[in-house]
Amino acid sequence: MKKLLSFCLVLLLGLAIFGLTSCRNDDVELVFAWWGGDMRAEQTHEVIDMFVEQSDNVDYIEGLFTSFGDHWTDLSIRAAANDLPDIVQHDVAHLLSWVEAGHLVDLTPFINDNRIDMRNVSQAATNTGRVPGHPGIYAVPTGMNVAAMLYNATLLADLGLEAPRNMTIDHFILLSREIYERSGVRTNWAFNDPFNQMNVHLRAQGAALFSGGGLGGTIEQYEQFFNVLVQGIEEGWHILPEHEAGREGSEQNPMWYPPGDENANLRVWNSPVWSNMLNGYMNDAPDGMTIGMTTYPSVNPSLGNFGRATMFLTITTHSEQQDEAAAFLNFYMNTPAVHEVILGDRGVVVNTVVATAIAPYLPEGSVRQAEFVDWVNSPGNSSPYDPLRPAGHAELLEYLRLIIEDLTRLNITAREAAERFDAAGARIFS
Amino acid sequence: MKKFKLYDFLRKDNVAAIIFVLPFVIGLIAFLAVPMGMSLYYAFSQFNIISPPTFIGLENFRRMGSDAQLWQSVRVTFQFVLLSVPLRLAFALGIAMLLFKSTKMMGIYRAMYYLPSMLGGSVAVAILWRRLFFVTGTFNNVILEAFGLNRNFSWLGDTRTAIWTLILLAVWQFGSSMLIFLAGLKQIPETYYEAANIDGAGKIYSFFRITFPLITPTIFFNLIMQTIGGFLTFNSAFLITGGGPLGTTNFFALYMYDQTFAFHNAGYAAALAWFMLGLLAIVAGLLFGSKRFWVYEGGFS
Repeated sequence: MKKLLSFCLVLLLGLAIFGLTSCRNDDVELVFAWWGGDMRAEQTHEVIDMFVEQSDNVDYIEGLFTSFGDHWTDLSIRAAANDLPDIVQHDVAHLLSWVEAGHLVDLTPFINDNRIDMRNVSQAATNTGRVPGHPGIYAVPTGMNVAAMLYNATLLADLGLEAPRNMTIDHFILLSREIYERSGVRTNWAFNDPFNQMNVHLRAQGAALFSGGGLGGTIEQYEQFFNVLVQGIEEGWHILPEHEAGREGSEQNPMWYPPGDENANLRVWNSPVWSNMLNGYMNDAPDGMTIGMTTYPSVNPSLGNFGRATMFLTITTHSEQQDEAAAFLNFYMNTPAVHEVILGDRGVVVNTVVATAIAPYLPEGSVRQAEFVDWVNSPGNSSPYDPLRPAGHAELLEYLRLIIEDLTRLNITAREAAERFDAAGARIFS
Repeated sequence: MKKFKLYDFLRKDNVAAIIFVLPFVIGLIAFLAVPMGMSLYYAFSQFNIISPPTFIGLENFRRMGSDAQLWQSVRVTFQFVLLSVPLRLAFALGIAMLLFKSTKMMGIYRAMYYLPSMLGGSVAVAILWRRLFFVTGTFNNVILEAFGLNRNFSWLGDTRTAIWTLILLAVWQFGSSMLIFLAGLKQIPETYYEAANIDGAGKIYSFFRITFPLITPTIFFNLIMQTIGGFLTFNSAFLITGGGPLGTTNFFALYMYDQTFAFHNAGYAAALAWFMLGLLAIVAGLLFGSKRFWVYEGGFS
């Protein structure tokens, strides 16, 4: 009898678990995945609460957030398991491959009947959701962003120096050298995002990092790029690769090291990042440090600079609640209250009506960010940008980082680095 | 016709056995056999995870020959295993010898020394380790300051030292080997030591003539388990050094992960996994082959 009893108990337990997992109510639940830090997570959850409160049928949105790299790892596992979130924050680097894999919904029908209202967004910005070879619009941009070099303006003011916009690379080298010689503070030119830095270098010469599905520059042009690094290492003004090993995010940013303590010789004065990161940097900076913002240096900055749409919102084809997901996208794009919370953290708002409505609420950093993005995007200060990257770009980036590690330890020459990079591009994109 | 009765059905000879073994068989099929079959198919496909795989034959295996990063990762993985496993085993055996005496506090000591093993694989310890050896980390600040050395040495960023920080972490997790050694040591009859003692053998002589030969089966077991574990090391390298500097800690499992999730070459990564399986089989085969030269197979009586 005991055996029968225990069997029944196990059966009961199994049924209970089954019952719990299959228990669903009629209200719609969505899943939204984005990348970003704690500040963005707090803001986004606040926006989600606002949306759920005013929505008739969506009663819960689950937020999945992680770092940029983990975001894509997580999503590819979910894609393989046919379990993608309804709404995915997307990046230009990945848009093409996702559209080609058939994971993204064409938003054109929603945009045409204004269920996703894009009437206050410029045609140019809306078009950033297109990819070549496919007819639809697959993504809506949440904001505009430009490459921006953030720097310790207090240090430069103390030294009587300036980092003006549209600095040429020669000017930048002179400035970096002078800062190092007078204060011992080093420069970070190409360690954050060498792809982006090299792209700006090539664009300034009328080329681009990628073109026609492969690399777009010549060995000589790559060599010039690597030469700047070699010069920086040899003259001492560029930081060393080993000082970056094991560093964690903005918390251990060498810009924050105070002068005069044991880590003083690890200090840097700048960080090549993006304009939407200004608020975060201003928050993290130690008291009394003003953060300046300028363009990336290159031989011809007005060609090298670019603006780009960023942090797209997309709906996946796996979603069974595409209408509700579209309602969320519409809410995000057109509600001023949303952007009074987000404050430009996902780039400068592309909706002109919303931008005007929230202008009085913006903190100093967001105002400066908007002004900077406007300035870069105005005629004569930048040139058009082709954001799409061919499949295999991530492998090439990893390879470029390895080449730069070898180069900055002076194991190889700039010419060898250029040849290796060119060969890697040829191999990966063949 | 006989009526079906659940109770009688359960009482039949094999039924209970089959029911008890079923969870394991289902688990084996669902979580081992099926994934392995899929992985074998991916190994012969081009597969970027987000799109369906396409069959490309032996292409992935051909590619291995010219993949310099792969061979570097094989080399550093061997280096890691060859250094960390013997060190860990020696350390574990040493501590086990110390903790072998039975006194009142011994239980507490054993538990404490086992603690790092329970924590060692965790993310928290890896992050702690990274902070410890970061260029502005605790190790530089406290220990080197005491000796007045260069305080900005980057342990994680120097190609000579980065792998040693991971080896140190691996050696620190000696607990499970230590427990197995303790069990092995208990198997050795006390009379052997008494007899040796009467014949005038010292402690060191006893160790090399009695303890070590009789504990070789335990050493062999630990060696096999730790070697296989060592080849599959991922967490510490992924979290502490990220494979750098210059690929000197880019262990095989980490390279496989990068190929899958960073470079989206999941097909190639699956081929690498099968290559790894072959490599491990060879290493394990060699170890088993060496067994008859050094492992004591007799009993204790």
